[in-house]
Amino acid sequence: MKNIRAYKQADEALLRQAEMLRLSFDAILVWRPGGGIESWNHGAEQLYGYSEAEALGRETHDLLQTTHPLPWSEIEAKLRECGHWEGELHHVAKGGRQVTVSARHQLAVGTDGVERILETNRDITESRKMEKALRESEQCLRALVTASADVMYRMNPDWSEMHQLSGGKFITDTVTTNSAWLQDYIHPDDRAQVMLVIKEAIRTKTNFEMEHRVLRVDGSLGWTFSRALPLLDSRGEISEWFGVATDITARKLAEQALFQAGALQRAIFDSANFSSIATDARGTIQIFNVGAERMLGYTAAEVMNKITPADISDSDEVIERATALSIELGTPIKPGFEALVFKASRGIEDIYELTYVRKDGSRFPAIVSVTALRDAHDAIIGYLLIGTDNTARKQAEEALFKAGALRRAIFNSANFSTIATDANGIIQIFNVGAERMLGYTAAEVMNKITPADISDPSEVVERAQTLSREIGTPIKPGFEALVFKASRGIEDIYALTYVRKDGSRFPAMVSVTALRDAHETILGYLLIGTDNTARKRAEEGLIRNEKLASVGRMAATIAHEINNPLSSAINAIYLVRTDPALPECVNSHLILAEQELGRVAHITKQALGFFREVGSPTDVDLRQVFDSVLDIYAPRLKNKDVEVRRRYQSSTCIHAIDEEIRQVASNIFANSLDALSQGGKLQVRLFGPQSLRGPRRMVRMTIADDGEGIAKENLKRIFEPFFTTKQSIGTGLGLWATSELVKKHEGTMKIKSQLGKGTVVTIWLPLERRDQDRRAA
Amino acid sequence: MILVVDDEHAIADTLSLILARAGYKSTATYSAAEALAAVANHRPDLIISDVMMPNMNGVDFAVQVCKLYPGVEILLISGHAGTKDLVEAAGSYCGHSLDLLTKPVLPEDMLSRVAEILRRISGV
Repeated sequence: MKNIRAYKQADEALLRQAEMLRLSFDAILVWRPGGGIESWNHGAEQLYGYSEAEALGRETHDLLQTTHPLPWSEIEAKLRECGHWEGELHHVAKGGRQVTVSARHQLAVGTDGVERILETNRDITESRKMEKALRESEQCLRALVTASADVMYRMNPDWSEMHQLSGGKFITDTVTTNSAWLQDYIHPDDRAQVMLVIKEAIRTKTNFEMEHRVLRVDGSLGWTFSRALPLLDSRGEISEWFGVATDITARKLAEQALFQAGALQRAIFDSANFSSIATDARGTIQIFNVGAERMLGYTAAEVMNKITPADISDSDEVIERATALSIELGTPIKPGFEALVFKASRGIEDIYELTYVRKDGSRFPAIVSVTALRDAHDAIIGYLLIGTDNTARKQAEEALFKAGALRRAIFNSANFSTIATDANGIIQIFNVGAERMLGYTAAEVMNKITPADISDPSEVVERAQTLSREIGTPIKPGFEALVFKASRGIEDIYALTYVRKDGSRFPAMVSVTALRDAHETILGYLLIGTDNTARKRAEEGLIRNEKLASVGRMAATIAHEINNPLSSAINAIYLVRTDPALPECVNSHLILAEQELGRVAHITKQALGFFREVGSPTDVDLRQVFDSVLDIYAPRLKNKDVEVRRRYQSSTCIHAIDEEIRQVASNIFANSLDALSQGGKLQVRLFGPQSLRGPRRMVRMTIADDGEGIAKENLKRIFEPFFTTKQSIGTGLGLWATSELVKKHEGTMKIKSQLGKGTVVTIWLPLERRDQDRRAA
Repeated sequence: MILVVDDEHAIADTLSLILARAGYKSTATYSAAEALAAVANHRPDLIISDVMMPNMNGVDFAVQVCKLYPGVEILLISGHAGTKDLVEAAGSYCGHSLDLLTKPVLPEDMLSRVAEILRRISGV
């Protein structure tokens, strides 16, 4: 009986329990092995979609299409042995929905002696799904991390222990929990800093990110970029840190080498106008600056640690380069990164043209300078490739080669400075002649400056002003001023003073042409210059400052403009004069006209500064010259009541060009006449040969007047062309031309003057010209 | 025959007349392009050309002639100091030096230079 009561009580308890659990969220069902479901609670209805009525009496595994993790016989054996079984089951709910449950089976034998199973199922479908997804994504992440990172590690929440570290070949692995990881891995000098950053990451529960030094497998020093993410549990507390680290040793060394390099290289590196690419020793890109990104279209992340510069270079060119180098150096060089840096690896700074291939497949020509980056022991740790966009230069070259054969000949000549620019004036080509004349290497100026930057600034300013006036449009004093005419299709030749690298100046004649493409668009400019030093030297003393240079140029320009009409006039008169039908009476006038035009021609040639021997030197008696010139002035001298005193010594015959000495005398007499507006005395003296300096014998002549004199401030400038105090009647060319002629005869000329007292002009001329001296010796 | 090239018509015409007056057969042209056509048709013994001309300058023209018609003598007339070097460069490119007179050229000077050149080529 006791037993029966006990059973009853057990039954009741079970039913009560079942009733209580009917309302539970868990699915609770009671069923008989081999028989039907006897109890089906609300939770089961919710989970499986079958109502109690639908479920009762059905065979549970049939209804729910149960998938057991083990064969049922094994589960049953476990039930009989322990009274319960726990495990995960898969069911199919009404409508086909897959359900995963965490199930607990409890075996009970009721009062009726029938075995029943109380099955409690908790829906874990969603969490299993999430777990699965998490597992999958973690696998993905691991795969990703393993592929891109060298090191993976797991840390406990406060970083006191490292749980795991797989260090690749970079740093040694940790398999078991390691509390000494800081000592094992981190460089002593970086430990404090690393801990500081970690503490902050723990406090803020944010990523740990840091570049620091580590001890590598081989004991050497390495650099790593380490990043760890905190994994948070459901309460938002850190449960673990998952970290990855990358070996950035090569990049760090490249950076260090770069920062040991000069300021220029660093400036270049920071510049967006240069593509700077640093690689490790094998060529893998470590640094890809903003300029490289801009020019090549890749982001740094797309290329860093992935490819070599050879991968973004024209492959044919790389092959060509390898072949050429193999031949040149007599050793086989592989067509790849090696071909790009081989010379640099041998300590030769290497600059060459290379076509880069952009991300979009387009190409651009670059000038690449390659330097090897070395550590303290001179071992190569990488390479630095600095590139400039060569497109503009290429275009200029093409335009140049479409130009005439002569231009090409000039371009290859060291006697002409050939400078080609892009449309903005930035120098693209700087030939060997330009290098020689200006002292810069092509690399120093190309893509950096314009020709205006190596020209005399005041000349550039003046040129701009002159052009502005001429054209009526303001022209900026800069490159524009140098090429404005050329840009308007006018071939322009002018004198320009270049400033050498050492600051010294040299005069050049510059011819400027615009380089145009097939559509007549200006691609750039070509400035061909010849060294004008020799000619300028002849004019030394004349052109003393920059203002003079421009005034001299103006004289040349005027003379040049006069030349064409003058030529026609001379020719026309010649034709008339040589006409056989010409009446005799006209002829003498024509001869006069011709002579006068000849003088004009002579003056323009002088002004142009390349007066060549027209007359040849003869024995000139200075007395005779002075007398004949004074004869010409006689009427005017008389008019002004000027008394002339002559004192001539004997033997004042010199070897010179008669016409020019006459001009000298004439100019000085004319000046004195102007100074003697109120009358006065003019003293003309000639002294016989005497030695002034060295063995040369010189003749001295002085022309003195007691006229107005020259103001002190003007005395310095009287030899400047176009300098005149005689506003209405002076040309300002007289004394300039006189001093030039004296110099041409290897003489000297001095002027002493005092305002209100008078002026003394002293001229020394050699008895014989130097070439005569030599011939005589 | 002597061919004269100058974009200044007055100069080209008068020069040509002066040459004719001196007994030479002479033609005036007014651009390098026109002159090139004339060279092709007439094969002159000598060309007298201005240097500063629009489109194609005298130096480029001379180089063209040297290339196409070696043996045709060229006397350049320039009004500019800088052209001397250009003419020298062109001469070295052509393989023989080019003659050069500076503007303005007096008719007598030109005639004596022409006579000298023609003597040189016929004398060889």
